[in-house]
Amino acid sequence: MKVELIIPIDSLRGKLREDGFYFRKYRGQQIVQKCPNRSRHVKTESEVERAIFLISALPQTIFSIFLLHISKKSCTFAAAKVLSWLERMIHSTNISTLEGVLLQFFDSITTNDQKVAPTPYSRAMTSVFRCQEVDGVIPFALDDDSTANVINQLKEHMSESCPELLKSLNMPLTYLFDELICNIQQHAQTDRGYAYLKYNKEANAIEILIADYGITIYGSYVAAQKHLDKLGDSDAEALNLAQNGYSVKNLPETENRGYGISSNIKMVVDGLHGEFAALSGNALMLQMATNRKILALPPEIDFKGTMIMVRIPAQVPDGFNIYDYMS
Amino acid sequence: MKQIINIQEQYGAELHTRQMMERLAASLEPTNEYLLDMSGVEQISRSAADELYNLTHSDMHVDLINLEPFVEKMLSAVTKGRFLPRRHLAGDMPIIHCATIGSVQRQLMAK
Repeated sequence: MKVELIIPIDSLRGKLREDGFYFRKYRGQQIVQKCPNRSRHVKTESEVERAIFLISALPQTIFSIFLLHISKKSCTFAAAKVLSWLERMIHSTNISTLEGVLLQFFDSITTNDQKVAPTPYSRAMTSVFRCQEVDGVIPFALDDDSTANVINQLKEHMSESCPELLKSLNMPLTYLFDELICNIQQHAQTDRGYAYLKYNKEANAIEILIADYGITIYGSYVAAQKHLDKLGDSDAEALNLAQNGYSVKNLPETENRGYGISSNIKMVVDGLHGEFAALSGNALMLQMATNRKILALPPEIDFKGTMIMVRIPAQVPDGFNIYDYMS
Repeated sequence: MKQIINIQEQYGAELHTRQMMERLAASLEPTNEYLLDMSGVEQISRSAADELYNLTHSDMHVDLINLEPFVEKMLSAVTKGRFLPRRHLAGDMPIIHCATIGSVQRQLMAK
């Protein structure tokens, strides 16, 4: 096992050295390595895995950086030390950059919470958040042809990686894409969306991201002057209204508006036993079978748009019927 | 005599957007009568179905034939949605205020 870390040296200096690490230059950068003279074996494999998971959530862009190499032989010792340090530090803000939080968020919505490194999925989300291009994220215009094309592209990608799965999930996925992309067209006041779909073999799940840099869900209620009494000035309340089917359109009682998020959450979470998350402005909604909550985020996490993240297990549950989620 | 339009040939097997149906509506002559042949249209979004509902319930003389099961079900859902009062069944979700990134992380890890 070899793990390469990039973490802020300033936060570490003077802490790990006492516990058996030392600093030196490596290819022009400060690195820290375990001091062989003080090596000892103290922790279990599961704790090592835990440490690696925590490490994967670390920020990668601040201050000076160093690399830490953990060989298989010494990983138990080294990871245990890092684990101990991380568990003290993870709740403080000085190492918690946005990127770290986002990567961790995405890793945290996976069912296996022990990660060696951020997944392509969490990297895709982080890149979209930071308006950066990344492989696998498809930008698309919101006209008819582009919308149809991107849905076909996503499904083609899936048919290449897991054709059998596409057969069983074709209808739900199309339904999901239709609703989410229509939401962007109707409400986001933008001319572009971003889509990502990949089959994660390790987790045996489909990972989906649909995002835009529009006016946010809160902004769409405000623009339509709808439900302002319930809304206040809160992105979190806006997400709460959206997941409960409150429309921003003028005639929600006589048109089929406002079903987009609520019907998809129900289908994904209840029907397909998946996970659904939405980041809009500075609020984050997390919907899983065992945990449903909205986080009103601190001001430093403010996404200028809306990002929907969905994870669907590859095994379609017995008895799942898409028609149950269309009423 | 009613003019038959094969929707699958013109718009494909999946109807995704409201705009697509608005384009269809704009292409029809108000004085003519139409049968929209939906055979081969396997999927339709709620939005597109909603616009199709508008079209078939407008002053235009438009009927649908040969509905595939999914399309029939979606149109049925959309029709019901027009007449049933909107219910907000999901209910409110708990909102947790996180003042710091550390508290966000704790919430994420407390899954």
